[in-house]
Amino acid sequence: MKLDEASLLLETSADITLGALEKELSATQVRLPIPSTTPRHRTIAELLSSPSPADTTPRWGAFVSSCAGIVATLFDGHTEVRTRIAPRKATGPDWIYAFVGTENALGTIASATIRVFRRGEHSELATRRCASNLDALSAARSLLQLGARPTEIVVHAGGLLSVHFEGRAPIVKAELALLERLAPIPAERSTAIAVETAQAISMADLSRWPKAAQQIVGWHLGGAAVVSSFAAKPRAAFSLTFLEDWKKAIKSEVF
Amino acid sequence: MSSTGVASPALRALIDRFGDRVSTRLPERTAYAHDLWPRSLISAPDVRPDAIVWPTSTEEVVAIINIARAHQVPIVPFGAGSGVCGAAQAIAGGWVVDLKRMNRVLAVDPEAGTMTAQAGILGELLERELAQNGVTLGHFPSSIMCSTFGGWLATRSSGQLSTKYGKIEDMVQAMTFVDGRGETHELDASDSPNLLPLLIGSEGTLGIITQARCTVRAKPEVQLYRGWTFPRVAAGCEAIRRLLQRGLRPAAVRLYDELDSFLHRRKDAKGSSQPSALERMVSLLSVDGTHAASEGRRFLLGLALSKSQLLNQLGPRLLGRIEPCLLIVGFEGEATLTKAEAEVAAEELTRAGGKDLGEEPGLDWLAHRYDVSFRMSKVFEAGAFVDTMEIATTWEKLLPLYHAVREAIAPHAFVMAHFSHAYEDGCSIYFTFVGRGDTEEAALTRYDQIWSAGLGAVIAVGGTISHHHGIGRSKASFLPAELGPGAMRLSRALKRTLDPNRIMNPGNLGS
Repeated sequence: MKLDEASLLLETSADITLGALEKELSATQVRLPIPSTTPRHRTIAELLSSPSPADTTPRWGAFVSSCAGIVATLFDGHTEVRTRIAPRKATGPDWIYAFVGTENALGTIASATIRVFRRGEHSELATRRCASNLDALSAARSLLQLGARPTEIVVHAGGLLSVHFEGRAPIVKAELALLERLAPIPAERSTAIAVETAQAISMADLSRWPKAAQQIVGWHLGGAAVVSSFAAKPRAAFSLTFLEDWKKAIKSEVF
Repeated sequence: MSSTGVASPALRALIDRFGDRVSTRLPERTAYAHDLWPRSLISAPDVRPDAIVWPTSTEEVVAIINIARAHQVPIVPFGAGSGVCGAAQAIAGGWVVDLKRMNRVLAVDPEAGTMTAQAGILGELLERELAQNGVTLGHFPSSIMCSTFGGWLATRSSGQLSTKYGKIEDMVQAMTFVDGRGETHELDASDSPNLLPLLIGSEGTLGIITQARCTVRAKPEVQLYRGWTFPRVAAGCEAIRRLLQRGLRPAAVRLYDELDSFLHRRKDAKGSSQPSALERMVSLLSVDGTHAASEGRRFLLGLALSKSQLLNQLGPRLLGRIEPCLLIVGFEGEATLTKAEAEVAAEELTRAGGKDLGEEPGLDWLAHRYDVSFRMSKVFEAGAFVDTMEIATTWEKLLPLYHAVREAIAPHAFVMAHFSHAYEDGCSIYFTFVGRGDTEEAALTRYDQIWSAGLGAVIAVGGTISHHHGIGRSKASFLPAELGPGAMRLSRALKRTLDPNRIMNPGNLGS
């Protein structure tokens, strides 16, 4: 593991588990942009090659979008693909996506450079009661569309909404004010839920996580995707033939 | 149509299908022969497209590609022609497919935060229609008046407010794409695998984007823009890095180096708005701020540029003592949250050594941010050329990259830069350079030397050769060094997969 603290980039071997990587990072001031609900036994390679829609935070988006670069080996076993590290590029297709989400069809990811983020200086967990789950979802969506950037949002059964914010104190305070405007009623079980959720966030212990009616994931810059099942969509027919055709074309290349 | 007026079988087939929506007239073929690549403004390309065709639907795009495939005719997709890398230049003749008649907004859903539009709509018209629905895409390139939605997607474009809203690839949720085999694909970011990132930015070499769905946001309640100064570039960059890495999300962050700041200040002192650094330079060299006679301006500009190396060396040293670097920082969005962000940012910038200039510089920039793209011609009229190089890298390498590229260009041209499009992990640098040659040939040689030296320095330091203009023809020779042999192999194979007849935008992206 190599951490560039000036640029907040973490270069890591892809076979390390998320849990092991977080353990190494615990001595630093940075964190990975991934929700507490993602199983910690998954490796970075698995998280990138077979991503789940659940590996998404409302603040940083899908975990795969935090991948700034990879070193991969093509299926021929020797051709190395090494992408250039830059915050953004306009140099044609993003070749990271030949390996991200393609489940090793074209090759395997050996190492990755992941964007990491400074831990917030201030942290708040708020729980609100809404008339229904749909109202809670609606409040969550409005919160994001108005520009708040919580690290986690969970809608619990019975219209309970838990939102975790972190960052500079005045900004967190303004985000909390927005939440109160959208969902004015504090949850009567707020203390209990807050304790449970806080433990879940800090300990990443799924058994302590209150049962979620729906997990809101897949937020894309204020979008409104709500995923109630973590199962990935079945692969589209085009995707299947496309990957096969591309693989054949790579094979047929003569140097 | 041939010079004898006889249409080829391919062209006959196209005219049979599209009638008067095909043009083979010389004025149009000349107008569509190139985009705004400055090299083609120094010397117009010899090759023109054989025809221009205007489809109105995805089905018609499919029909055009199928006719072209059957007759092995090259195709160049064309938006508004504002690209500056030669990506829309018909180097092998063939047909230009102008998408501007596919210009409708198909759906706007403010509640879901989405909109769907056809590829050929102009950016300004798209934003205007979204505004009527109370939302914004948040994509504001300086070329917004003369660039299209599809062009943005094809080149991985970035707007001036990308730090808040993201680049265009961050906004796309779904896309309709016709590949070089004439097959139509409805692609969604939630598909597994997500193929959108492999097609966005493909610059017309794999197929044609015909429409897309993107995320939209509520129009901002408030816009809080201010100007700041920092003693040197390094201090300003460090302040921006701290701002971003502490979780703040300004809409705009623009730090001008000493020379660019000096030209900004002169504009402010005059109280008139000059749109670009280059226009400001031409203005600076004109008598008492008004435009002198063409020959006089040409002489003064030539004299100044013949001493460009000296100006480049002395400028920062002298100006560094008297002219601090200007930083524009803007926040926008919901009122309470935006005010909180702006206050925290002001504390951070003050702590980092910044001096607050108040709202005026920020609001002035906001008011004139689109003026650039239409005002380049005066520099060319004055016998010089101007171009921009937008590169990016991580924070760790940012200042080494700035100095290396500046030193590489300095012997050949007058050069200045600003830093914009900032992220937690790095930032883009936007170099502007002005050069000249005594003859057209000498100007082209000088122009190519600048690009070769500049991009060579980018590769050596480890930056990326384009942040948002794309590759086109101008940077194609540097693409192998940017991507490396492994990704180049992927690229060639992807081209063979989706465009086996190799008709899509030949020569572009190194294809």
